[in-house]
Amino acid sequence: MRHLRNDRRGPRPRNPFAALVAGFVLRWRLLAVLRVTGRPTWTLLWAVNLSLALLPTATGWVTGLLVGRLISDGPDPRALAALCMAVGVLVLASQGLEFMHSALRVGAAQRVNAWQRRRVTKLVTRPGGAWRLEEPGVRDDLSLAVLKGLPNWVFYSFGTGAVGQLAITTRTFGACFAAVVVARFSVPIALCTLAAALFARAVSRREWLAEHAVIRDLAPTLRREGYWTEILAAPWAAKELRTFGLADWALGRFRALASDRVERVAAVRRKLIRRLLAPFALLAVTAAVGLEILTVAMARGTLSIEELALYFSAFWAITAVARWDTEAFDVEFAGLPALQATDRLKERFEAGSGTGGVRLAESATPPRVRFHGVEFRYPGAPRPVLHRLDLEIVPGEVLALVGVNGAGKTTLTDVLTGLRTPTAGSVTVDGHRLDGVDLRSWRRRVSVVFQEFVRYELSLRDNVALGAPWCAVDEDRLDAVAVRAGIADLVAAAPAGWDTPLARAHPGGVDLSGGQWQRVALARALYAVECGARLLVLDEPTAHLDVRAEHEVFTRVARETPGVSVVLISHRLSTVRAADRIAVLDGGRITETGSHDELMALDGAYARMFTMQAERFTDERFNDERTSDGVVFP
Amino acid sequence: MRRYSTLLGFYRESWRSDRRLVGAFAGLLLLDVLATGGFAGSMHALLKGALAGDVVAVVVATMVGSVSWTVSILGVSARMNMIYLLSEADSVRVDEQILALIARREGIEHLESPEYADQVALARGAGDLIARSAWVLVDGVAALVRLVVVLVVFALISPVLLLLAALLVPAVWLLYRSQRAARRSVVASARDARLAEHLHRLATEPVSGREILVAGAGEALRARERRTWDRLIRRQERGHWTAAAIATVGWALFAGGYTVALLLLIRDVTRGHAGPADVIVLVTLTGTLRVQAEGIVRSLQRMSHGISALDAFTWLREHSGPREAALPAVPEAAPEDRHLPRLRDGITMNRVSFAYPGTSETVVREVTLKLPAGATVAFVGEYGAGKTTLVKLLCGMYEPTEGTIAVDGVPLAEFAPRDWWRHLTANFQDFARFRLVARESVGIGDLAALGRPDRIARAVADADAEEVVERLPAGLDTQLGAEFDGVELSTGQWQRVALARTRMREAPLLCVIDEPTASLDARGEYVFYRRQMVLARALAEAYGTVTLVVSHRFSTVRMADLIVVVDDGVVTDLGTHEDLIAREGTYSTLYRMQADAYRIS
Repeated sequence: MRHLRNDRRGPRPRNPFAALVAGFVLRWRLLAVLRVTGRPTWTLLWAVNLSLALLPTATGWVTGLLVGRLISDGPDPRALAALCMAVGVLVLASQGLEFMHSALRVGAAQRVNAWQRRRVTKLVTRPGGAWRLEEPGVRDDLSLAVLKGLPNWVFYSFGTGAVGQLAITTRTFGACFAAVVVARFSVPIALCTLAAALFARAVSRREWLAEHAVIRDLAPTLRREGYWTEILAAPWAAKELRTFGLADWALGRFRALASDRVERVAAVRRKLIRRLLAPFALLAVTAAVGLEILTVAMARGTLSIEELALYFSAFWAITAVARWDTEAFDVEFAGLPALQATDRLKERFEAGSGTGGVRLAESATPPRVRFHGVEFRYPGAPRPVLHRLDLEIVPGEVLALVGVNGAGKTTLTDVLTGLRTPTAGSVTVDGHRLDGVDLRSWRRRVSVVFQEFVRYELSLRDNVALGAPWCAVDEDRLDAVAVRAGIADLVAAAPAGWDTPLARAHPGGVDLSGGQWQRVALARALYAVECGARLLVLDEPTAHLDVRAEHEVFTRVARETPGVSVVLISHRLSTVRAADRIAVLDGGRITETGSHDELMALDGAYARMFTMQAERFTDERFNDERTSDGVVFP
Repeated sequence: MRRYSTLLGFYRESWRSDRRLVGAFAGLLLLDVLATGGFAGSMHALLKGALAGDVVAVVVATMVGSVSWTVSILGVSARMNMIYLLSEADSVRVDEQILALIARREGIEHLESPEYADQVALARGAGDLIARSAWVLVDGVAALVRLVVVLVVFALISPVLLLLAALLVPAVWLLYRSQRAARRSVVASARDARLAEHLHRLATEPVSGREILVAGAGEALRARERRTWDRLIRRQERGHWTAAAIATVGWALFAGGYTVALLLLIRDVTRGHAGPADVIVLVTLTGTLRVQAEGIVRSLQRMSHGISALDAFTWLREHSGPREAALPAVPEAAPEDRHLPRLRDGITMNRVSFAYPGTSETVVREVTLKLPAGATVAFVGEYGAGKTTLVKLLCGMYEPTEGTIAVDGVPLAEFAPRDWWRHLTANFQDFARFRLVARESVGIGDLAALGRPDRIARAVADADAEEVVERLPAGLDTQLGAEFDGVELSTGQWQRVALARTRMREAPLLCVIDEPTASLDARGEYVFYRRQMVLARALAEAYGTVTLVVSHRFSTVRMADLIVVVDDGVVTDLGTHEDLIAREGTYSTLYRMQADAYRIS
């Protein structure tokens, strides 16, 4: 898988010591992430974890005192009772803290998850970042960074990784502390036991890691499995699934993929169980020798019972560290990979931030935009999509852009809005080259209705106001754009007016039709114009609209928006003809420009397209026997 | 109890599918119980021997103790791996069951209900979680048995310690109950989880990301994401802290009893009925006891995540018929209960009304209409007029609230919906974009012809999609969709793929094309309609097929044999283009408006 390859290509220390240090640094950073849970949670989390780690040794110590008192001459009943109470309290604490910990870690993990998601969102919504989302590897890293899926699926999240790292760290500390206690009896026993226990744990971890590497390599399979579950269960495919009777076929595809993955994982898991036998046998021998020496010393009378109780507890506390930490799974599977994926995303998205450069001043006049010999080629594509394209958007004009599908109209929008940088040539805005301009300031002057506009599952108000988030929400403005986009009736009819959520899955929510959504998207763009944008780009603004609506939209938006340049991208030539100027995009360059009448007189590609669409109205009856011979398509 | 019947069924199927693995797991659990007993017993013997100065007893006890201890500590790793092995194998089956429950369900009304959506969100793809929970439960029961073994050793030391066993019951019971609060909070926050996911996805997907970037809406979205998360965290924290408090009460009872037991034991020691070694054993084994109790807690906790999914699974099972639940999911024998080779009379709607489930607003009102066999029918009307709902009703996606739809006089209600679906083909307004290999994305329009290149090539040609295919690097074998390292298509290209899919079925009785050219350019629209008219005519002659077109473009609509004008859920007018123009109604007004735009001055 891609991110693994990235791993190998990255600056990886060759020297094993350096690798060890790098591993520690990464774990330490994961631990440090917990700070984002807030001071109270953070403090409590550390306190609870440390207490849990030290409790076994403490219990041994108190027991020692208790037994010591018990066999001493003339035991004091009061002191005995007090010590019994102390043991009782420790027993209560051992479990009570565990309960606290389980509540604490859910909250802490979710806080970390929320923070991580915000961090990733912030990173990828940097002004210069859009096209990087399509770069190879980014999708995998994004999935790794936030462990996509249900956010309330706490088990393997970045957050549980961070919380788990804390548990492992404090547990290791607890074992070391116990070793220091045992060292008072015998340093070799303490060291050997600790070493054997840590060795067993390290082998377990290595084996589990090897296993996870296999599972991680299966990520693309998992994604495909996820896609099949979507086809089977998500509303978007529901109608086709039923019409074409795909359910059982898709189930079969899902089963084939999943069964194959499970079989491959199972082989590794079986291997793991076999491989753990040796290190634990070693540990068993070490433990037996240690215990032997300890208890024989007692039997020979060289050790008091008080000491025995303490060392006995501490001894078990050391060996306990060999126990497989389930948290290591969260750390290795979620925490560390997410941290590394975020690092890679950072590296990628922080380069070329799109901030800095000339800030364009806000202005009431529309900008003058010029494309100078712009070329754009997608990485790895044989031919450029835009090829030596020259175009000027004159302030205040309505410019229509026409061309066949795939002619590069959408790429042109991307270049205009700074989402993509031309591979050659340049775009200037009021004389400033776009690559030297602060993109945020430029985008405040542009408003775009994208062909694939966003459908926010938020309130109607948010859906419109998110066109200009920098602008304080103003009811009058909202109502004004509602009228112009033709959603005033919709707002009036919605159960909670502007506050109605636009998703039936939310309480009190409504679903909109394609046409209604398009008007909402239009309202959003017009709202940005109200808030100061002076260049309105409409990419197929009427694709989902009917005749009357199309007519309305065009007259209202394109004609009644004074002081704004409008770029209208459309293939409905009836809509286009009313534009001030029409530019025909063909083969990545502008081949014709002029008004409708001028282009008709020119009798070029535009005239041919227009005549073809128009003749279906002017002919008495559409004749399907007629061939298209003689009609040359652009 | 319903939850347990789901679980029981699960174990039964698991045992049937892999006896060896289930048997090995059971063996391991048994070995672990023995090791726990061995450890407890040997610790007692060890300390007694040490205090008595009996070196031989000490050596033997140490051996037994170390081996037992190693077995139980190694058992943790082995058990866990076994749980994964088992649950992974089972998860495929459970996922399949869940998906079958959703996908085989007839109609799509349920998918639009928030309650159903919540359950689907919890259950979809959660087979792994459910299966793991089921095995973790078994592991938890084994922990309980180990706990009992430790208690038996206690009883051997002093019967008074059995008091602890009695107190463990409320402790473990309260612990179990406490999980309910935690679980409830997870379910209650499912809606926020979905919203948070939606907002995050919008910002990180390339398509929506573009608009968000240009509008500068990233920050505002992050603020909303944060509010959603805050709500989710507050709710889940409250639930989990409540759970912790309840569980702590239970354990406090136990700790109280433990202290009393310890005091009693010490009294015995001072009276000489017990030795000081017994005190150390009690305290040492309390650790073991705690580990076992902890094992139970952990099992419960790990289960609580799966239980929400398990409950959703149970809920889905209860809200489905036997057909959806039938598993293993094998392709149906397709008994074609009703096969109509040809449409003779037509499709009729008789006083059909419809309101979306959970709403009172009737979006289609008393529609009576006949789509004659062999006709090309066009639905026109403004957005929100109810055209798409009519289409979904005709396609059997919804059942009419009132009235009947009949095919050649046979009410649709008498067909199993899937039988009717076999007779139609449809390109919906919001068509699905199947990110499969292009060949499949087209070919699934008729699964029987998925392996026939000739049929697929013809469907591609019929939809005028050859150009789209030619542009693909590996032609029909190209993977579609950027998320699968494939080629991402534009809306127009996707639409042609969808059209080609619609053209796969050879003998449909109803062919629905809803807003087919919304994202096609002039040339695409022209060529498309020429070809569709030829196809419609051929189908009409061969099978009496009704071709139903929903369009906003009157240039298209005017070609239909029958034009149905829909307004506000009611059919307001119908007839041929000439009839409607002559009547000077809504239709002629709208037609003129669009035609005027093309008048060459």
